[in-house]
Amino acid sequence: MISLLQMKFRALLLLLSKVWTCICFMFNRQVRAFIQYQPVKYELFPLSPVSRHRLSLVQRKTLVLDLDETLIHSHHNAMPRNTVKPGTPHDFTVKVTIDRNPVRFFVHKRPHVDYFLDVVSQWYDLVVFTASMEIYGAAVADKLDNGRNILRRRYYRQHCTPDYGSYTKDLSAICSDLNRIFIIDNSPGAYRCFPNNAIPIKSWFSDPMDTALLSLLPMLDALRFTNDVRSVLSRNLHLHRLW
Amino acid sequence: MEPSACEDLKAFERRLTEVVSSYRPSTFRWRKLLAVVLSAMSMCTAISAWYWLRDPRTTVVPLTESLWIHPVFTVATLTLVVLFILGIQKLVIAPQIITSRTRMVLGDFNMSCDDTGKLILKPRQSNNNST
Repeated sequence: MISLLQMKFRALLLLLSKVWTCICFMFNRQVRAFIQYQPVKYELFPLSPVSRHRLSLVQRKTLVLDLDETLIHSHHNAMPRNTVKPGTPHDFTVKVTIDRNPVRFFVHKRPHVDYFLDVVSQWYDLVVFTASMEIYGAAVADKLDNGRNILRRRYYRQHCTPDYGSYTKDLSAICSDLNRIFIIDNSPGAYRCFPNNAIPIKSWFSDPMDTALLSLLPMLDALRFTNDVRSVLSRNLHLHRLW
Repeated sequence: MEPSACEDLKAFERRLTEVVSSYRPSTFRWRKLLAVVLSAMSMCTAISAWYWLRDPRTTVVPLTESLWIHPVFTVATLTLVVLFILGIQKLVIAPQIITSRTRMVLGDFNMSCDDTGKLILKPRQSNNNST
């Protein structure tokens, strides 16, 4: 009789702890949503007649985006989670099978990534170019796209060029006209063949207060009025350069 | 600098200044509204805080009860706190935030901008140490 009671008590405790974890998780998520609401976003202002005329004269440009540590950060169950603070809720999971092993990736979206994609997709043709495997990259891009049909063009590891143990990304394969293509990537090695077609961005792992994507918006808004993106981007000092 | 590059930089700058100047009217509106709301709230809080502290009952009765006796003080303080939590002060300094972010990104490209969004091109440094 007592053992039965003990068992019921334990089951109750287990249930309560699960409910508590659930509440904590939801609370964390709300707090994060609140923090993301805090910073000043970028407002879309209408174009002046001069700018509208200028825009009609120049071609629409292609913006190439990296995934890992630029738009998202992910880790999987077998990987030690030293980059992410324990208890930080992930935004979505991606289940892929790698070498016949099912692997679950916990993906954290960089703050403001949805807003960023919404805005820049109005200005540029977006292309995802990741050095990750296709099966993973495609699943993450699908989730980021979220039915908006803005991340349809994708390039993966097989499209990268192996180079000194890392991968470089060949932008000329996406668009032969280098006037109107540029990449945003956290690792400078990815665009070492195209240093005048790149905007550097800080690698992101877990900082919930990060505003790097929002910070890029004024620059990206202005860049679409250039005829050749290299007029601006070739001034790059490559302060982040690794090579 | 080539004429086409110069043209591009001008178009680039034009949009930056457009965006920064577009923030101005709404910010002035906000600033006026905010100045009125915040000064009224602060006056309310200050005056009611004086009454609250001077009230002999404040030291005797529990905190919640004393707050209940002075609803004006409670409401004014709460409203101020909520306004600041909602980041109302950020609406006023939005253009400064936008220009400072732009400056940060432009810094990578050997440029900067002033408070109206006008570009500042810095002289090219020698690249001897990096190549």
